[in-house]
Amino acid sequence: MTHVALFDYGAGNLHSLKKGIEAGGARVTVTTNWDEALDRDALVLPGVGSFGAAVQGLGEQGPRVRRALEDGLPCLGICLGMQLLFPSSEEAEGAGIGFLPGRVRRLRARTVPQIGWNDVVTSSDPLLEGVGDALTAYYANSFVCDVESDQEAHVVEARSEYKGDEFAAAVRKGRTWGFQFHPEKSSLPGLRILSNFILEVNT
Amino acid sequence: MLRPRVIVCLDVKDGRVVKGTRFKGLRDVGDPVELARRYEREGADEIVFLDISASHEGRGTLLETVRHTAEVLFIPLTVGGGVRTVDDMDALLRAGADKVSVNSGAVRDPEMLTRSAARFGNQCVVISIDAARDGAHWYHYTHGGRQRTDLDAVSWAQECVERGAGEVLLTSIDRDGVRTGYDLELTRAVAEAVTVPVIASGGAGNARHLEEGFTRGKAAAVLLAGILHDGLTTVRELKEALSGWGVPVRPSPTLSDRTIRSPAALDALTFDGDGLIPVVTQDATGGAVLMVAWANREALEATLETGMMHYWSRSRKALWEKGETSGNTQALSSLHADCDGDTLLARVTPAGPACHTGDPTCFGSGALPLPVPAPELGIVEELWAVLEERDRERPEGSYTVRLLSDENLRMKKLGEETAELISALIRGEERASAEAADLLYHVLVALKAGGRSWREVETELERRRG
Repeated sequence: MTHVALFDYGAGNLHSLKKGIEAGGARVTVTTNWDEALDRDALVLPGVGSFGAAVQGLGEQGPRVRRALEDGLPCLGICLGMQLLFPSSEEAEGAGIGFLPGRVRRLRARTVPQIGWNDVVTSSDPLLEGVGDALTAYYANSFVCDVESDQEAHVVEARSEYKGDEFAAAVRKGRTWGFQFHPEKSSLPGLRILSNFILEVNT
Repeated sequence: MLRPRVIVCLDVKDGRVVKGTRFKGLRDVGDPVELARRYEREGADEIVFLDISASHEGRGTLLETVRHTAEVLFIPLTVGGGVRTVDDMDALLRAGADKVSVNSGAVRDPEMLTRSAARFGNQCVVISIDAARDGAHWYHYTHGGRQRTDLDAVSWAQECVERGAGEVLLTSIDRDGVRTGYDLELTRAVAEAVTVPVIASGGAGNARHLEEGFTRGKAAAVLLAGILHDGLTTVRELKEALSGWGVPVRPSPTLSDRTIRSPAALDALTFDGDGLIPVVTQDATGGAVLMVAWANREALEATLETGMMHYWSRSRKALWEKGETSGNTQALSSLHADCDGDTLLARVTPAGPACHTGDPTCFGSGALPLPVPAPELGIVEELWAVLEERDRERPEGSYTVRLLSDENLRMKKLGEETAELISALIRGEERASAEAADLLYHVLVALKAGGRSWREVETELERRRG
């Protein structure tokens, strides 16, 4: 059975995400240890807490995590976990993993955080298989990722818009995916994304 | 676009959902975990648990309830009631709440909002305001609506947001349980005074009240409880009505893949308050509807595991394998959910009569399907059959045979007949249908001579129908 490491930065609710991944047919270990986190079939970076806290949880391990992802370790970053895949964030000092080029910036609207169900314009990706043409997903975020284009093989997979501010709802590079919304809080389509991820890990 | 939310509130006491009006007279309405799941399947955008247990034991039970719920609920969960400190909040978030709402705790110690927002982020912090009107103002109440404060509800909301609350849960005490609609003036006054989402609560009696909450009350979300728990309506019905009036709510889920192949797929089903779902059982070969019975999750898991139909007997309150005593078992052929996942169709191969009376179906022999008559051939198929016969037997003097053996003539006629049809159509002449018949005949002959068949044309048309 696929064995997924769910990294715990030390704050917040991981129950739904853990159960959601398990429902997709994988075994999940919640861990604060990077040796263990990088030794499983796939790594999941959850979306609770702040960028600062996550950077602390990352410690000196950023370059090592980046190498593991470059070597093809399947990874799923959710909300803050997606932001952590970038080099840095406006939210707090400190370096992220730097696997994806770009920057993490504050939403431009007066009312932040964005809390609630927002529409997602999807594209064809194995992880978005079967979620339907009109995906509406749950967000709870103040920051978003601006992906820079470069020669590397990465693509923005989906977009959303909050009060006129368009941002990346999902990114992918190689076997690493990032979702700005919370699949584990987005009901059936969200669960489908998690089980699609497990299917991809297995192929 | 951010969708207006429909939130379902469950008042929880000692591990059970209770309902009266929130501020008096309670009765048990069910298990919080099951109810929360059911409302998710109906299309609720969020669930709120308000803990009204007074006792210390009740708190421990609440954390357990939150933990169990978070493991099976895949929409956001807000928990409130009796939250006094940042540590109370921490415990609820760790148990699985996504947001925590605070009322009396914030009145006693407003700084706790700031500390919680700094620690957990303001998206986790909901200020709960219970307001009642007195003259030109609304005043905030604590202790489940029993204790009036001197705080003006609107300015209190503003202060809480400045201190770090990310959302306002605004309940009108005057309207709570009355079902005459939200206090729209109150809702709008608060919504216009703060920069965070306001949830209207207290007074929802029908879909129109929800619509007014969004439009006239300017609420980002509406909260309801009683009309759902009493079975007067469903989240699905309410959302359909709202969509019809142009309120862009998130549509309730429809099952895209309705075939249930594994126990995991049972998660997509909506069980009723007793954990049951109706099953319509059909003979997989004859098509007869055999019976209607109830199943719970356990019965369906047993069915999928063994391949034999299991139901839940409501009279005996027990799991029931069909035929375990009579021998009239039913082997499962396939299991299908309906569009909204609250009814199942089981297609089975029965080993004997379905009904305890010995009738093959519980609906009597009158319900057996009528024999299906062989379909009559359409005129085109009939014509095609004649062409095939002519081609095979080549009778002398047959015009069709001449056409079949002379390609030049065939193509020339195809062109001529097309031109004649066009001309008849342009002139609006009645003979257009006769010309079309001529053309169709020549098309069929040309297909036949070209080694193609009419069936291929039909197949192509069917494919295009999608």
